[in-house]
Amino acid sequence: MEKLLEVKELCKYFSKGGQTIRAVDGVSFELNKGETLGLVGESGCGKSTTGRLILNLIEPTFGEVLFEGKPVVNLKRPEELAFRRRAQMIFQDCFASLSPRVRAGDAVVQILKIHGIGKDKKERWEIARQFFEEVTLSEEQMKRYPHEFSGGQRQRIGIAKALCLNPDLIVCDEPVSALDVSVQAQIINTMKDIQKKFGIAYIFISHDLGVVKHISDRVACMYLGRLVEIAEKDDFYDNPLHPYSIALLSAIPDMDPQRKKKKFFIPSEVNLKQYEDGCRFCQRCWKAQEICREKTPELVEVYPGHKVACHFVEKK
Amino acid sequence: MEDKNIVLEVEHLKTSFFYGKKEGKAVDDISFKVKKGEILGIVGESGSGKSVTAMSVMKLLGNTKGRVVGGSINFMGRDLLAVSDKEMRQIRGKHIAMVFQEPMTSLNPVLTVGEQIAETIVVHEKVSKKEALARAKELLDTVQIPLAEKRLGEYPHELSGGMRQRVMIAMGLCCNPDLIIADEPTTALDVTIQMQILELFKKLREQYELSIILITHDMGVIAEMTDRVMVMYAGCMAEYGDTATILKNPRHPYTKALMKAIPRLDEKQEYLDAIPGVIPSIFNLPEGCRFHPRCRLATERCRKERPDAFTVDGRTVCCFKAFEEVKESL
Amino acid sequence: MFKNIIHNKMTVVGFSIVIVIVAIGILSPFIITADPMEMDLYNVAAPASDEHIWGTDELGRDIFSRVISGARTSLVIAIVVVGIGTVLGTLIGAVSGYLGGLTDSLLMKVMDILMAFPTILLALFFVTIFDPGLYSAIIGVGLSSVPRFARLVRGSVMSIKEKEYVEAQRSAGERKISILFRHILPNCIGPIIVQATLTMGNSIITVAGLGFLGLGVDPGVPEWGAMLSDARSYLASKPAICIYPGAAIALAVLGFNLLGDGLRDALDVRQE
Repeated sequence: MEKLLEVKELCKYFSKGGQTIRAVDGVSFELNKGETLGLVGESGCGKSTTGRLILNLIEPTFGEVLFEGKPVVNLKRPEELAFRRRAQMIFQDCFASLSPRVRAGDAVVQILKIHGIGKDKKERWEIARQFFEEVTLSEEQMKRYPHEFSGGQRQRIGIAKALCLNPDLIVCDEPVSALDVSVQAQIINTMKDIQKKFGIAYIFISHDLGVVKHISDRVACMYLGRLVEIAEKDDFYDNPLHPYSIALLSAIPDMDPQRKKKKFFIPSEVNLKQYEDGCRFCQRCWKAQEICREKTPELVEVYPGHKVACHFVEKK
Repeated sequence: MEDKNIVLEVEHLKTSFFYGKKEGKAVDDISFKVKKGEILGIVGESGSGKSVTAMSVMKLLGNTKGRVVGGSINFMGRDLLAVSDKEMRQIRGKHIAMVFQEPMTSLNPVLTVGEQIAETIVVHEKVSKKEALARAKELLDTVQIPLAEKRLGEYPHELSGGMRQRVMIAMGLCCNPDLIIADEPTTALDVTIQMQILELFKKLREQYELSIILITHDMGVIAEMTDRVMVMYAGCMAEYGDTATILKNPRHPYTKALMKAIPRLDEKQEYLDAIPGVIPSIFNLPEGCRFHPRCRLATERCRKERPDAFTVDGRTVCCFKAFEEVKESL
Repeated sequence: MFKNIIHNKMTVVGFSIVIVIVAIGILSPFIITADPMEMDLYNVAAPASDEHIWGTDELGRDIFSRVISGARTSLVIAIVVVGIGTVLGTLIGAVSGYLGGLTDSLLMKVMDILMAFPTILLALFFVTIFDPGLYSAIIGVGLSSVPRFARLVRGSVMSIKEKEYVEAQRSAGERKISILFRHILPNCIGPIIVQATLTMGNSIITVAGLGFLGLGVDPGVPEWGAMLSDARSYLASKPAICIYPGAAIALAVLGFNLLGDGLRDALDVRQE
């Protein structure tokens, strides 16, 4: 497997009212070509910020992102353009991510123009049409404005926009969270088809563990800016090791009422000020002991492909 | 008498929205009952009319362009459509409480939690401010807010999302209501917090024999929480009955399709069974069965006639095809 | 877009008013019935007659001819003032709002200082450093309207630049400057147009005020604002002298406002 992306000790600190908020704090992982990494966690865990850092939409405080071995920060214009061409993004709010005054087809044509693809408007339109076909939108629909589409169709435009440069990586930030279940399934299927056809790697950011399970090859779980667990999909869902992952998975309402799972209640009160040292999860963790409050657990490989950051998970 | 057990009975409720001459049938012929101590789930996608149903029962459509155009709403022997606004205000809060999705917008940001709860108590009961505050503390204990005493003096923005939702529930409980209508109460919350709030609802139901109408789009929540469920689609009832029966063996094509479209944690699926097309707008509803344009089983009849409800093994279904299937199996 | 303008009745009214005023401005030499500058001191403040259909003013000049000739001057004033304000204000506001940081603070401080002076004072300042005359007055009033536009545009740009579609364009690799002009500014057009139409009316009156101080239009030159200020002292005894130029200003402002409202709606593709 060829390595596409490497994230090393990525940190992003914001200052708010004199306090430093560590939105992302030392996140490291790798992504292979054509692979899907699901990035899960609850609101405020820093998963969206991580996605934006990877695409250099915001600059990291520390750490680096390597795309095919080359850093993505501080690129000169031609290199930046080359990077943007290969790494794209799909946004959660498909309405907000489309310019309200730009017709759907023109949105794609504009992107093609920025990257100098196609000789003239006509040729670009033709290229755009092919990508719209890929996401099952018609040429007639390309002439419409974003507000004339339904939520699912808008997300299709978002996919066409990301797809039109033939990227190797698409960061998807909660791409289906705003959609209804029936439409969500359509979009997920489309995304899977496209991945198969074009060999794109996805970083799929979502709070919905069901959706992530469905689309991912590997899953990374974040809690308050830190990566707590990263594993192959089946490993993560069948054998979660970090207490937070366990609690998170147990909290999902089960469709099968007959099956009774063990539920792990974790208290909701967290004092954010205290998390400088130690495990971020220790205030809510039922396993927490003195060491958790004093020492930050490292992300260690418990067995090949499964890394956990917890003092109480032993290496096998 | 069975009737004594029924807290709320809604029959053939129709609510429409009017924009100029256009009529949008947001709720079209919905009937359901809520028994004492029961949790009824209303599930559907956006635009299915589940929230409008709740607003119609609470008579909170006043500020919108919607109004109830038919049917009856019977709450503990009183016809809610006939009571005056003044009486309705009494009923709201005292007998029926509502919990909304976004607790931050339902709480007044410049009043402390204690003041807000106490105010609600004072409005409905003749007690002093001091007594009301004492009650408020008890209520915060009931909804399992730690350090209740301290929380009384805090403002809504100082609380986390889950805590705010607990405060909302506490406000709903302050006059010992008979029915709580919770409209997507956990949609804005993280799953670990959602679980706690849902457990709280279950506990309250047992403690006070509360009836709860739980509106959600999440089939998982329906499965874990409710005794009976009504599946809604485009303002109509698709299937209504015992939750376990419906989830185990859905009859209506929409219920079936919806359950297949959800990515499951317990199964391996290569592709999700997506429902083609989109939910229709209430101003542009299809003829006949509302689901027919998206239904794989639709026939000529489905395009023309609206299916009547029929009852089979303890649930009501509105579908011609399902009716035929049941007839054949007999 | 044109269909949208026609669709709204009030816009049509506004549009017609503006067209008529512009036409009058262009064709004024052919419409007037007397020389607007010619005084007839034997016939001061005469009521309407066959010879002077709206009567004469305090110096015996034909009011009808003066109002008609005034259209040209007043229109030029209004358009130039608004032109200066819109172009400069939008540029400064856009740069300030989009770049933020130090640039923003500096530009906004300058704008605040400008805003601290009343329009008239600022215009006076320009008139005194340059030649006293109509054009320095117009430039002065125009410049003093810049801060309002700049503030407005800055606010809109700042809110729009946080929108996800701007981030989406960034992730698509578009240059910052191109994002500003193609995706941010077109979405600020609504408030700019409203501000522009409001400024039109005000600027006519402000320039008239300068004329009153002897710093705007040369005395005697027909201009609505100046006519109005000259005739103020006759308001009680001979109201007709004030009414006509006043009505002309009111009508022009109304026309531009209605047209502005309509344009804003027509330019908004989101409207059904």
